Amino acid sequence: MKRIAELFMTVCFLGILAAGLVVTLAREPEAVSFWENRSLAEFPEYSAKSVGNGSYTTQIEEYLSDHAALRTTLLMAKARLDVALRRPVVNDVVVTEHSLLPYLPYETVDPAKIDTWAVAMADRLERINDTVTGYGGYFCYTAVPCQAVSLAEDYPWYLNNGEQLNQAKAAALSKVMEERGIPFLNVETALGKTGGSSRYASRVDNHYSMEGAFETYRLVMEKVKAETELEFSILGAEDVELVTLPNGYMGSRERKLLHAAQREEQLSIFLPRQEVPYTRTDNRVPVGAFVYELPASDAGEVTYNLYMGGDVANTVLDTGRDERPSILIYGDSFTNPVECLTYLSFDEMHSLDLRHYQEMSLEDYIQQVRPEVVVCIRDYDFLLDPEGNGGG
Amino acid sequence: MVFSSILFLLFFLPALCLCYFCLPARFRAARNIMLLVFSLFFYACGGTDYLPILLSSIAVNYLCGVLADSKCSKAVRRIGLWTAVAFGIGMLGWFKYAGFLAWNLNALGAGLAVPQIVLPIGISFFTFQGLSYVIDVYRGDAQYQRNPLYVALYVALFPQLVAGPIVRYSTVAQEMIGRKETLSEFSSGAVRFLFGLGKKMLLANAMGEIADGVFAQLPQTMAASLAWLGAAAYTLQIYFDFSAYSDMAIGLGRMFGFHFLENFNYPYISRSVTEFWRRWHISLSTWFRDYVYIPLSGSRCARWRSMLNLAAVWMLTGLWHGAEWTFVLWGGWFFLLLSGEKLLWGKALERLPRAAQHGCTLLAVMLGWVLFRSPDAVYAGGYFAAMLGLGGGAADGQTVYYLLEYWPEWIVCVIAALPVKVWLERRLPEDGTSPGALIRVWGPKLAVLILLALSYGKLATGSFNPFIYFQF
Repeated sequence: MKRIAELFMTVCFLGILAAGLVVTLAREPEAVSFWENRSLAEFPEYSAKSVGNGSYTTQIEEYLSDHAALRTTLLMAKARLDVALRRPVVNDVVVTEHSLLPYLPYETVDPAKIDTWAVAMADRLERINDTVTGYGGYFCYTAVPCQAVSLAEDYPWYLNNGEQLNQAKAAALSKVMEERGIPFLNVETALGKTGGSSRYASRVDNHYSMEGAFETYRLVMEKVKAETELEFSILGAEDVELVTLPNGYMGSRERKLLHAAQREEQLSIFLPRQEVPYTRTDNRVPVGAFVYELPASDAGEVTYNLYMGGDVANTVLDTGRDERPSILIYGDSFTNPVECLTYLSFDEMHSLDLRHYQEMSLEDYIQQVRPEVVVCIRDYDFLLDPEGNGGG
Repeated sequence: MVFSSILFLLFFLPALCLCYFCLPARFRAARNIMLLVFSLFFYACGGTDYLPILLSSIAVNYLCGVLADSKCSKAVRRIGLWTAVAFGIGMLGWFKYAGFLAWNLNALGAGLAVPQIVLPIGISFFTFQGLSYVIDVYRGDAQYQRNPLYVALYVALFPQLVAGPIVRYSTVAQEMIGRKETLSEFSSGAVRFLFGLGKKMLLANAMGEIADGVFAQLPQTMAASLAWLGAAAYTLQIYFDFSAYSDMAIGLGRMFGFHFLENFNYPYISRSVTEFWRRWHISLSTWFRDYVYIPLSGSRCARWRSMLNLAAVWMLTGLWHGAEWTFVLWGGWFFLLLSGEKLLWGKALERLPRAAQHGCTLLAVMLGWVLFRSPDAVYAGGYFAAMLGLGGGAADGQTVYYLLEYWPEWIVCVIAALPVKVWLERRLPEDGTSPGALIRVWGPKLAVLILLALSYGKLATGSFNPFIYFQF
């Protein structure tokens, strides 16, 4: 029996290694991991330097790890196992009974450091504000709550919910913006006065719901209207119809968990009761007129790319109503559902995502287009981040 | 290349097995050459720039071994010995300690340029192996090896090349020439290798994530509970990490017919620090004992001299682990503990209840690991203060998080640090067809196949995979 067991062990050991080798070699290489939302490592290029210092082997190991046999299946199994083991954080997602939240590592909040960041951010925003006001336009920096801010109370008591940091960031920026006279709108504070932002937070994604975007749109427009003499209409609840899509919503957190923990949620859209014809141009190329990238059928899942078709470097929606002002909105993905409504109030709506837009600087774009209104929308995570949509 | 990588598991190892075992056993020299070629390739994967260093170490030790042979005159033998020592220590000194020395001299106002030297992988291990060969030949404990390929194979044998254990030449001298690879040896080697792989991938890395998370924080704001948890996590990480590597090295060696000596023997069950060092990194502690402590006259001398010898050994042991003052302090800490056990509280410790003996030893070792893990002495001081509650209070939520997040690993780590395997082997019958005998034969094999699947899963899905002992 001992010999049979030894033979079994040897055959299994070598067989498994050989099978792994064959499957890894035979596997069709993939460029992108859908679930991880990232590019997979490419096979490294040979160079004498990388072979000499050993980095070539490291890169091959990274490549093999990314393209290992059964990798996606194993990722799914691992996520399911971790959820079943009731680990509080799986794949950097905090799994609670009702929601899937971002894991925020513990941090020490240093008020002096935050004040320095806020001043640096205000310096950048002041330059943009000067550019806009220089030709008579109006600029507003808008802070919107991300999921961790809206659902801070959903975190287990022993995990960091970022509340201290977020409040410190918003307070520091608010103070310095007020001192410098730069228009600043904190949507979280505004919503706090009318029942809080949690009702607009997604349980499975970082972004607010369409209703949250609608509230944001209204708050921004009311501020613009109050502080300028521009003529444009603001949509009310009676002007739009809320339609909930039958499809399931695959939020970014669910995606990160490879569906190991699902929370039922659906996405909505607002359809104007009165159609406004428009044209759409993406990155200077005319495309079909759409603001919602609707799924082909009721089956399958939709993602946040439903709104405006996801993050595009530059989009222009032109309604051809010259009597109305034009607007430029720039910011991260939180702008997308807001844009689905904003174009209805303006002549031209320009949208920039500076993470992708490389053609010219933000200030050059503003000088070239000279929109009457420039709005930056950023969530609390990036409120003081000068990179990307921080203004360049 | 590390053992716990897809490159090693799915490519290197199958290729080596295929090339090696396709050669008939009677062509021993061809099998050895194959093993040497793969070993050098294994080392070159870490960077071909370092390969000349390994090859020159082999060449110098081979030539010095020839000179140190008893057939030569005493003067020639001494030249052989001291050339090997000077070369080995000089190489280690340059690659490992030149920057440290310059940095310290600069602190005294020397104004030297600090050399930026990359430490070749495994230099501490292959240097010590080469030295032990020449010293053994000089002492007459081993015969010099005429064939340079065998010296090369001894120094460069891939299972123990980059992270030990430090194999004595006498341990493998005969096996290089006349070993016998068998199905039984291969199978038991594979089992041992996979146990090591599982320990590394499933336990050491998990504990490493906790330790890295805790030690990345400022001790001034660290709660006492978190500081203790971080120290416990690192205590488990370093054991499972290093003993896993030793398991894999021993297992791989056995697959190819070599029998390396054990490097760990459940060190955390020790009842004194003296016992701990008989169970921890055995190949290193015996190396220092045989090649430094005893030649310095060991304990067979005046007490003050014996203490001086012990202090020298522990300072060197500390420095061997790294060119940092924290490692020197760590060595000093164990010198104090071992001297104290020898001269002051050893008898009193023996009179304590067994649980208290275990507790005291584990506490002393854990405090040592805090020194070992800290980036500098100031941080270590702050960390100790945090452990006493002088950092960020008594307890915090992070501690709860790390306990809940890694609860399966904590439980398995505690069990796996105990000699459960030994206990089971004593109780299960060796022969027969009873359920106990079946479990004894089949249990480990089925267990390691599950471990292989889980480890592969971790390898394919995670990028957190550093080996601690690669830095030495």
